[in-house]
Amino acid sequence: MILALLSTDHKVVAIRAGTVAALFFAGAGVLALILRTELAQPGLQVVSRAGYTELFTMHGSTMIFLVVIPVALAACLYLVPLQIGSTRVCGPRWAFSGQWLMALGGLVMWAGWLTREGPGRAGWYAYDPLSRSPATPGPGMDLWICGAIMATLGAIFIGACVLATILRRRAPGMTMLRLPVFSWTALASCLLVVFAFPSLVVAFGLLLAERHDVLTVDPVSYQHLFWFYGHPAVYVMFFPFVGMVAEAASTLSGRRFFGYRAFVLALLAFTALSMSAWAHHMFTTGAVPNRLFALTSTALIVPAGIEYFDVIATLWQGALRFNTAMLFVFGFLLQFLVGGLSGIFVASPVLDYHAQDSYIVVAHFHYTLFAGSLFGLFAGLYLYWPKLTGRYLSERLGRVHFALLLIGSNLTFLPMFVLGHEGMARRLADYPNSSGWGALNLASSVGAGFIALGTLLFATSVALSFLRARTAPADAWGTGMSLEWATSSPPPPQNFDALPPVRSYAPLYDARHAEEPKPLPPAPQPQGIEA
Amino acid sequence: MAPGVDTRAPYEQLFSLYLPIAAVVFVVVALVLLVVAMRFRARPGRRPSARTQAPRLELGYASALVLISIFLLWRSFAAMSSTSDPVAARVATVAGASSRPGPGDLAIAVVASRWNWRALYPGGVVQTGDGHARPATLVVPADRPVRFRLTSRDVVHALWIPALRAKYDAMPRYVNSFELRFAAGLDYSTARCSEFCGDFHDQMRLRVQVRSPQGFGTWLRTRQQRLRRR
Repeated sequence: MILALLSTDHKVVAIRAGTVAALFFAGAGVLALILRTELAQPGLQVVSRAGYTELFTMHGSTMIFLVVIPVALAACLYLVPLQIGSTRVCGPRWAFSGQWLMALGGLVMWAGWLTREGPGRAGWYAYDPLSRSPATPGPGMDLWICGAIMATLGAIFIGACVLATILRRRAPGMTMLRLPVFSWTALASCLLVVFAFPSLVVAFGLLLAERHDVLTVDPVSYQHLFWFYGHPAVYVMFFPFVGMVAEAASTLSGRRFFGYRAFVLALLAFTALSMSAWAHHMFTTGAVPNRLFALTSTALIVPAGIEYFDVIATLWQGALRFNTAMLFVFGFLLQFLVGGLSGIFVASPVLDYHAQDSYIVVAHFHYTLFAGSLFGLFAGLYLYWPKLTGRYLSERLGRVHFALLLIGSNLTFLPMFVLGHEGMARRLADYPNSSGWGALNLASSVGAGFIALGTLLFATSVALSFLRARTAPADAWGTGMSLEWATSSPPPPQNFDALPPVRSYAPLYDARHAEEPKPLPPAPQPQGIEA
Repeated sequence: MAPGVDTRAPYEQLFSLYLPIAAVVFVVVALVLLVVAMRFRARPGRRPSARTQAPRLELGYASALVLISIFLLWRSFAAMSSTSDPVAARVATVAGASSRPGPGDLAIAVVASRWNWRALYPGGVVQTGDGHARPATLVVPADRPVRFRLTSRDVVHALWIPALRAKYDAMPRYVNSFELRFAAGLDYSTARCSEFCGDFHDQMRLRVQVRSPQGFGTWLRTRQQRLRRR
């Protein structure tokens, strides 16, 4: 047990990060349930206004800083070395420190509940000057800022470690254009982590200095610094889950990933664009060139559309195994689409002048993050659970889990589009009875109950899986594509005893089809791209 | 209608363009996935295709995406030209926001503070509320452009008038300028602050009262005279 806490093996570090994130997910989920209970009817029945403020700040900031970003990076840390055929990561002690920084940062953020004034309560983006001490006094807010800085530094450590691993530790034959699709999404995410996340450390560092009267920060400059982190961050919370969906689609349909080169090109364009779209969060300030940021934000249609096309084309003409992982692939594709399409609306300033800071935006980002990315995560978890543990998750419970989440997420988040359009602003502790918003809010709150049930069921399913024997073979589904399926489940500490030759981005597929007539000549490698 | 003022019509036009496109995309993807789920299930004898690319199809599809983006941007920019984009300028003090109307032009300075609105009209007329049960009443003339100079005395707020589909930020040390045109007969009951500004954010509402241009003129003159008499 102590060894598991101190190990620098990338797989153990990643599982530790995932476990800590799961605990914070449970915490943030409880906060969300209290929020939804309060909003179920007009009037303040459950919490005070101050309590509500703490709840939504801690729910949002926990989900982003302590759950989705850590889980995304944990997945990269676990899978990338296995996919590229490496025995270890570059800088394992950086990954170790990063994981514990994220965990301790979380504890520091949550320690704010113990202070008299309460924890962080200025919203997850902590706009200046609301987050300054006159409006938000007390050490709880300082703890929240310090914790978020720690968690973000931890994310940068892990991101840098994964990035270096991809660039420096690929197996013989594993050129950049033979990286598995998930590893490409990990590369894109880690580029964003390394180049955009320091901006949050600066922004929150300035905030801390300002709270202690060292300097004064301009409100618009703060927003630029924050969103230069905040927008790329949403892609860090998206790319690895697209990668998981792509791996699940390819593995479970028995097909090589379709349109690999287009996908890689689109992903790199996506990464570049996502770092130049931040000020669409500031259309209503009047202080940014709205046309420019409408252009970069709307242009995201192109890479996003290509990625969708390639995932669906991989399923097309496959031999699909409709297990729980595949159900979550379908759930992801349809529900993330709602989030993505609504994102095109808010990329247009005239539409955003209405949607900004309303429940339209709340619905939009919950469709991308919860109904989207988290469905992608579950596709990945059901797919990779046998790799992680040697044990399969129950298919029967998995189907119920999927059904509960499908009903729950749509019942919770779909009404929010209507509420926002009718004028309900986000972060309201209460709304007047005369608004007529009671019924839709009640539906949304009932939906949150379904999500809670589904999550409890998943926790049960995980616990039950440990009662089963380790039966998973190396290639747990029999149709693995990349190297992680070439080693035992779970993999040994050194990851591999032997590696199959790598001649494409799907070496195991090549090995299985070696006797058959070659369906595709190996892709020609352009000069200069092989590292 | 004069350009550069209306907010609701450009929004509705753009929305009714975006919504069907989004709906079609969603339905197409859903149908394709339905076909995939029905036709391409694993069954004995079914061999997955070995095809891994279709460069011409992919290129055509990517070009279509580029064209759609250009089209949406063209319509978005057109909508922006027929509405009034906010322009924020730095000021030293809140007083910098006070209204100095041009000839024949009405300018209202709106100052947000936790958790109240103050509307300042020419001649020193002020409309404000008590920050809780009785929100401030913003009196405006119908069917003519009204210039706003919006700022804040403390934290970032935002003035949202859902009926006009318009929302602009009120930031300390900045004055945000924009124009709005109010139509009589719309439901203005949900106008409010929409940027989280502290515990009583939900109480930071604003009443909008739209009067005929003559009625508004009379109201403003009466209020100005009352001030002068005092």
